[in-house]
Amino acid sequence: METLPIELLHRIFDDVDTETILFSVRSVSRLFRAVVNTYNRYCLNMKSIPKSNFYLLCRFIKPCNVISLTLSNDEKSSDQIDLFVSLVRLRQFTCLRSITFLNIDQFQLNFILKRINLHSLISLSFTIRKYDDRRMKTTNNLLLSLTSHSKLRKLEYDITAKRMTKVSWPINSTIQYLTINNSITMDCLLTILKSSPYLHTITMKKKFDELYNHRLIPKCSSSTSFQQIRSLTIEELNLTIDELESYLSLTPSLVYLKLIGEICTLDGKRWEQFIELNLPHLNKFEFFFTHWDPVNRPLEDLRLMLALFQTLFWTEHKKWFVNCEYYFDYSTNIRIYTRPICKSTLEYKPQFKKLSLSTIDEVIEDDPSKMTNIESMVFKWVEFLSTDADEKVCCSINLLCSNKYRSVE
Amino acid sequence: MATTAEASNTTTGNTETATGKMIKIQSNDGQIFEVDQGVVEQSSTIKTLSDLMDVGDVPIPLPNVKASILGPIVDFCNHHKNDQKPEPIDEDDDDDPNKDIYEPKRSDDICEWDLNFIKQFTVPEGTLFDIIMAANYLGIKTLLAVGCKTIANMVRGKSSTEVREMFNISYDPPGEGINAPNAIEGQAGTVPTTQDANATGPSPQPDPMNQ
Repeated sequence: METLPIELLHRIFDDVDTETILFSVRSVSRLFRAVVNTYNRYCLNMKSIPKSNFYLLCRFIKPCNVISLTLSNDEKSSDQIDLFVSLVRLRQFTCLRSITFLNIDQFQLNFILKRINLHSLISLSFTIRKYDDRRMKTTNNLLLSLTSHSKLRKLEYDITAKRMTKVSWPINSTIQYLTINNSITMDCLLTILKSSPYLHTITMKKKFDELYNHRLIPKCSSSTSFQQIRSLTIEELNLTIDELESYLSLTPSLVYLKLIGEICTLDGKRWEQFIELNLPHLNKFEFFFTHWDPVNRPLEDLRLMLALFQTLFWTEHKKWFVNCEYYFDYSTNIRIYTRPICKSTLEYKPQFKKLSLSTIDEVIEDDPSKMTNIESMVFKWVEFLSTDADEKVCCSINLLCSNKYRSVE
Repeated sequence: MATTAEASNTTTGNTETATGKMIKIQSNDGQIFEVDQGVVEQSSTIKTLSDLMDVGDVPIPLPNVKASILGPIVDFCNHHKNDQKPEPIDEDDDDDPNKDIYEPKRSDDICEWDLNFIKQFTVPEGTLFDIIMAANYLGIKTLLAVGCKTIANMVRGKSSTEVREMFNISYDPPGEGINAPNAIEGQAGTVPTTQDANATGPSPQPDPMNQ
C-alpha cells in the first residue's frame, strides 16, 4: 500500500469515513500521517457519532480541508451544533461543497451561514427544529443570496408554507435539484418554477398547503409550461385528479414521475390517455395510491379496475406493472401501486383479510422483489392475532429481512 | 519476443470485426492483446494513444503494465463494454434527472461480477495494488473505483494496528527514512518513491490515538 502514489491513496480516502482516516490511518506510520495531512476532501458527518469522537474530530480536522459537513441536533446530541460552533473556527471552512444541518435552530442557521465561506457551495440541506420569526428576514436574505449563487445546484429545506410565502426567490436561480420537506402552496411553487430555468428535479415530501392555497389549479396553465422539469415526486398527494392533471400539464417534459397518497379516481384508462397526450417523454411512473370506498365492492369490480392498467400501453409499451390490494375492512380499502413499491415505509394490518391482484401474469404472494425500497414497516393491530395473522406477520418480517429494512414497529 | 495472448480475439491480418476496428496493445513483458473499440473507449490512455499514433497493425506499448495484470483488465473491459456510460458531472442534459450527482459517494455498491473479479487480486501478492496502479495508468475509471472501494472497505472501521497488519506496514519513528514528512509533502501527482527493501524500522508502537 505504501507503494501507491499519494493521489491514489487520497482517492481511496474518498471512500473511507473521516473517523477511520484521522483516528486509524493517520497513526499507521509517518508516511500515512503525512499523506493524511495533505488530504483535503474530508466529508465530516457528525450525525450519530460518539461524543468522544466528536471532540477529537473537532480537534484534529482542519476546516479548510472539509468539503462536506453534516451536523445534527438529534435526540442523543441535542446541543451538537452549538458545541461544534464553540469548538471550531467557522470562518476557516473555505472549501465546503455540501452542507447538511438536521434539526437546526433558525438562530444557529443564520449564525453559521453568515460566517462560513459559501463560495464553493453546491448543495445545502437543512431541517429546522426551532423557528424564530424575528430572524426570518435574515434567513430570507441569506437564502436569497445563496439561491442567487451561481454554484449552488441542490437545495433541500423544510420552511413551512406560511413562512415560505415571505421567502424571496431570485430571478434566474441556478438550482437544479429542489426538495421541499414541508407543505407548500401552489402559488409559491409556481413562483419558484418561473424563476428557476435550470431546475429539473423537484421532490415534495408534504402536502400542498390548503390554508394558504386559494387557487390550486393555475389559471395560467393554458399559456405556461415548465419544460425544464424532468423529475417530479409528490409524497403526500392531496389533490383531486383534475387538479393533479392540471398541474402535471405544466410539466410536459417529465421523464420520471412518482406519486404517493390518497386519490379518488383509480382509472388506468384516464391515466393512459393523459400520459399519451401530455407527458410523452415519461419513461418511469411510480405510484402508490390509497383509496377508501364507503361501500363494499364485489371482486369483479376490482378485476375490471385493474384491467384498465393491463392494456398494451401499461404492460408492453411502458412496462409498468401494477398491484392492487383489497382489504376487507368495515368498508373497502384499496391500495394500488406500481412494482416495486415506491414507498420507504409501509403500513400493514395483519388482522384484516387481504386480496391481491396484479397485472403480472404470475402473482407471487409477498414477492420480495416488490419490497426492495421498503426501509421500515409499521404493523397495526388492535387485538390478539389469530394464528393466520401470526403467520402473515412472520412472513412479512421474513420478506423484510431479505431486503435492507431498517425498522419494524 | 512478443507473443499474442490466447484469450484475445486474434485475427490474422484482419483488424476489422463486427464490433469495429481492432487494436493491439502490448504489455511490458511483450504479450500482445487484441481489443475492440468497446474496450478502447473505456481506457482514456489507450484511446488517446490510438488516436494520436494511428497505429495500424503495430501494437501500442504499455510499459507500466505486465501481462498478468493486463489480461484481467481486458476481461474487465470486455465485460463492461456494453454498460451505460456514466453521466458527466458538468453536463446539464443527463438522461436520468432522478440520479442525484451530488449525493455522497458510496463504497457498498460494487456489483457481484466486479466483487468476484477483484477477489483474484490480493494484498500479500501485491496484485491488488498492481491492478489499481494499472487502472490509474490506463485511465479506466470504473476499474479504479472498484479497486479503491475494495481497499476502502478493508480499511473502514479498523484500528491503525489492524491496518498495519493487514497491509504489512512497519511503524517508523518520526522524521526518519523514506517516511519522513519532508519526503512526502508536495509529492502529489508524482511517481511514488520506491521503498527500500532493506529499510527496517523499529517494532510497531502503540497507536497514539488509542492511548
